[in-house]
Amino acid sequence: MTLIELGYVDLFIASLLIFALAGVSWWQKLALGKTLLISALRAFVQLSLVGFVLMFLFATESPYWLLLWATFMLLVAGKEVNDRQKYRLKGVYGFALSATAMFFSSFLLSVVALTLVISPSPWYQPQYAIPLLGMMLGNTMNGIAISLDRLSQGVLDQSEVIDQRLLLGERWFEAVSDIRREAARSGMIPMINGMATAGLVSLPGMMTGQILAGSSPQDAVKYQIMIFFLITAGTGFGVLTATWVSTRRLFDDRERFIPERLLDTQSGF
Amino acid sequence: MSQCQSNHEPSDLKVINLSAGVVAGANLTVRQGEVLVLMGPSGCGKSCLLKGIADLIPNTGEVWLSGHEKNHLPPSQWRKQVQLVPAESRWWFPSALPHFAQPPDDAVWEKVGLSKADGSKPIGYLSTGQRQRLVLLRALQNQPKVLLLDEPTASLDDETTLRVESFLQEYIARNAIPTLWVTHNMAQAERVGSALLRFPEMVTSRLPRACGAEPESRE
Repeated sequence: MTLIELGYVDLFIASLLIFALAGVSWWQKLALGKTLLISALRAFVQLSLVGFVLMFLFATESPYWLLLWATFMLLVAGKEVNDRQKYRLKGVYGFALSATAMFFSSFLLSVVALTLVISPSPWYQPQYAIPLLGMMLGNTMNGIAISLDRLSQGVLDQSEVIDQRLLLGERWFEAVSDIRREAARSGMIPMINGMATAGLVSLPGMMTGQILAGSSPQDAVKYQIMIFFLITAGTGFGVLTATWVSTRRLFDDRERFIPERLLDTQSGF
Repeated sequence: MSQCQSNHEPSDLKVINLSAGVVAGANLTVRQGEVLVLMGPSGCGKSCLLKGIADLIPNTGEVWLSGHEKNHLPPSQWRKQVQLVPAESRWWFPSALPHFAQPPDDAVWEKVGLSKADGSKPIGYLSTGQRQRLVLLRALQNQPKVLLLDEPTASLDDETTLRVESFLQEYIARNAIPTLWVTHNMAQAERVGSALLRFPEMVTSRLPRACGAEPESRE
């Protein structure tokens, strides 16, 4: 079994569906048509460019180019997580926090998986490293963004409770423990639920891809299980890192709660 | 009764040139067992002063207690000793009792006009006044060395106000606690206070009470 190659005509046919949807959304006054087309165009351009980058990386097998590209992916993921927050930490902290969390959730775990689990040789072989990192970043991003969003919403809603708990002599991490726990839970639950229904409802993307490319379903399943475990662990550790660091930043050196360190991206305060 | 002793310098509360929020350069000393009443229109710094002393908001200047400046102690420890009791009551468990490491004695409940059962009721079922008294009891379980009371009887009826006043006065006297007490009620100021600090001018005057007029009379 070999993969049936797609030509640009095939892509054009698929794109007609997007144009059709844009037309309907214009007719229905959903005000989404423009965004939809721009996003579709971005997907086309970005993926095409990445195709070239990957061809280059696979050809050179140089760890330095690989590291450079991986770092770029990490920074973009960090920016994306930060951009999704309604309230984010002011200054460089918001981005630094998101990038750090993504580093723990994806970068570190990808290295662990490459060296200990998959063990290609060399371990940084781009054909394994890049897709793995991409999958880790893409899938852990959601959980981390959700948990950070919940956290900032929670501390703003409950700022008076936090102050009261501080007044009673609680440490900073005690005063926000409930909020932080809830935020971490809401970031992790989608992944955990995803594992529980895996295979029954949807076939995960990686497995689908491997099967399409001609792997036996059994091999594809093994990879998919490993990916699930990695993504769930990555999301969990990333969420815990993000909520902890973010919470710490909301208190000063005398453990005073400083909600002003959060920036309301909607009103600009 | 050692209510008016003034020779135990170590546990007087000393505020030196404290600036916090709208308060600029506050200087004051409250001796043990003494109640300094804070009065003045809203929004002119009474709460800022209390929060600054408790180190809850950024501040400059010094606050001394028992030979320690607040920065000498971990903030959580300082706030346990210098207990600010806010006017608004905030809760994070469904009922009051889980907020207590140990439930107060039966006698204490009775003194403030509550029953132990009130501690187990859902917070939402309690009146504002009941909640305010529970906030007070919750703060006292830390055995504070200083009390900063922000309108502690604001939502109480006259009878309960007097009851809580005498409970607090007894507690303050027995434990020789320097106290700052915010009120909008002059009659209450005269009943509980040894001195009055008026906002926004921040001028101190003596109140006609036993501890009042002259330091010599404080025996």
